[in-house]
Amino acid sequence: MDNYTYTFPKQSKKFLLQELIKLRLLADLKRSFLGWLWLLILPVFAILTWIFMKGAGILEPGKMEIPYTAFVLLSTTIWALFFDTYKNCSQIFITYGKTLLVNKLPINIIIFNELIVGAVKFFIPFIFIIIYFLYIGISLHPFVFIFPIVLLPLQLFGAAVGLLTGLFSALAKDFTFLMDNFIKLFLLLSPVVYTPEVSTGLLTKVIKYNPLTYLISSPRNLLLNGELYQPMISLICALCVTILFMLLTRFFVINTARILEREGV
Amino acid sequence: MSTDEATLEPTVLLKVTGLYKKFCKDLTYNMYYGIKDLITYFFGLKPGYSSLRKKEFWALNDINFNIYEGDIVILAGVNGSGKTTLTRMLAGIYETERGTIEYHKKIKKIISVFAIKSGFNSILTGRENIYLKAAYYGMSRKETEANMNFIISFSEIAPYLDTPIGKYSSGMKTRLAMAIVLSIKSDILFIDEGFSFSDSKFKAKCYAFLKEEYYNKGKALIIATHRFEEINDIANRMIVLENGNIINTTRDVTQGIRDYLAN
Repeated sequence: MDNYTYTFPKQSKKFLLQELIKLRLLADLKRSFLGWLWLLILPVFAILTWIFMKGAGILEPGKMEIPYTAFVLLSTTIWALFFDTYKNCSQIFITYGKTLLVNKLPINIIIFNELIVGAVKFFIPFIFIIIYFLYIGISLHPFVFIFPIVLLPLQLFGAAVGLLTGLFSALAKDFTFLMDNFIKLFLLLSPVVYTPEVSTGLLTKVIKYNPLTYLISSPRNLLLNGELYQPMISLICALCVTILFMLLTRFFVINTARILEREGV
Repeated sequence: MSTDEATLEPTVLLKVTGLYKKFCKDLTYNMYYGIKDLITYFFGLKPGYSSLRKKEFWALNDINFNIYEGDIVILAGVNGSGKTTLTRMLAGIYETERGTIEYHKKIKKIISVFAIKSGFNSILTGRENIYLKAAYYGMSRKETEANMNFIISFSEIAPYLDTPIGKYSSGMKTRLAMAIVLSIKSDILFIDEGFSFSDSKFKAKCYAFLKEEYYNKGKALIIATHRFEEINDIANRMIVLENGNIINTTRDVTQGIRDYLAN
């Protein structure tokens, strides 16, 4: 007799991943008249808000090399990758809770699925941004090809924060409310709609010690002028969030059954 | 161990020893214990599992039994007796923190079915849902395609295969779901209330298939159900749970059902 350890067949993991990706992407597409066009429309609404605030003098974004519209379009799209990945990972027990209660699925495949879906939803509007940049005469650095690699740590950070939030939120909803609002606050405390060079007392300090400063500014700078923002600190940040993501993924996988059986999902 | 297990000695496929599971009946305490335990695990420690904390109760209390080759077992008990918890532990969905669940080395595949229609997506077609469900059961694309003809013919829903499943009746969904499950060759199958909403003709077809596949081929089938009259003909064993304890296990299923209903 063997102590029972269920292992999902290796050869079936790829098939499961394909089906989950198809399900997540098709579900959005089929339930809407405009479908994926919303991926292009939503950033426009966000940009209009920030342009209005800048025009009204409420926002002083600092000195920048490209038009503010283009800057905020690129930055909010990069931020959306972080926020959407955080949100998707924090809601794994809501999205898959019932499925996980009746099927023994490999959780790492579900996490990987959320990363891929997040990346697909980022790159569709991103391609249109590139086309728009070229159209209005903004030249992109040849390093644009390594942009996805430089962007990855930001997504992993979103996933890590999301996984930790997801575990605790499945037990008590307080963590969802707390973290969702905390992340929204960080949109303003990170150089998304302004540059990291902005100098306004306390905000300068927050920007300096906020890892999102480096994770957002580095891919953006790479795209625009081929350089990382403060390369050494950016690399340390990237390394730390990658390790954090790996540790939290492991912790999430180990504790999924314990969370499920508490029926907080 | 009951008398029936001592006198017969076929191969043991599944051996459950000293199995416990505790839950908390109070929502606030449940949240508190959940967070406390999670933090304990985070620091690499294990919360004690031998005693109950305030508002906790044993959902399963020292469960011991064996499942043998060819067993078709009715798992009976009133709501809340621990049937689903036990089935989920056997399927590996809930963690085993106290006690052991051991399987014979020859067991290669176990399938568990809870809420048979769950996992279907209403906007996908029947065909697309076959792939999705099969993926949930750990099948590969190749295996799923090889089983496709069986699934279509067994479920008898060929004309509606490319219709969104949201347009199916409950019975049609059950047919499709059951056909997918039966297309998979497993060594042990757990079914928790699987046949609701399907017609008697289809149920009879399923039971005949299950008997052939699990009894005649020396595998094992465990069905948690309240519909004893339907499964009485194929079951050869009954285990009765009450408040997380096994109160009866017998091979005289007809008498077992009679005793259960009388009590």
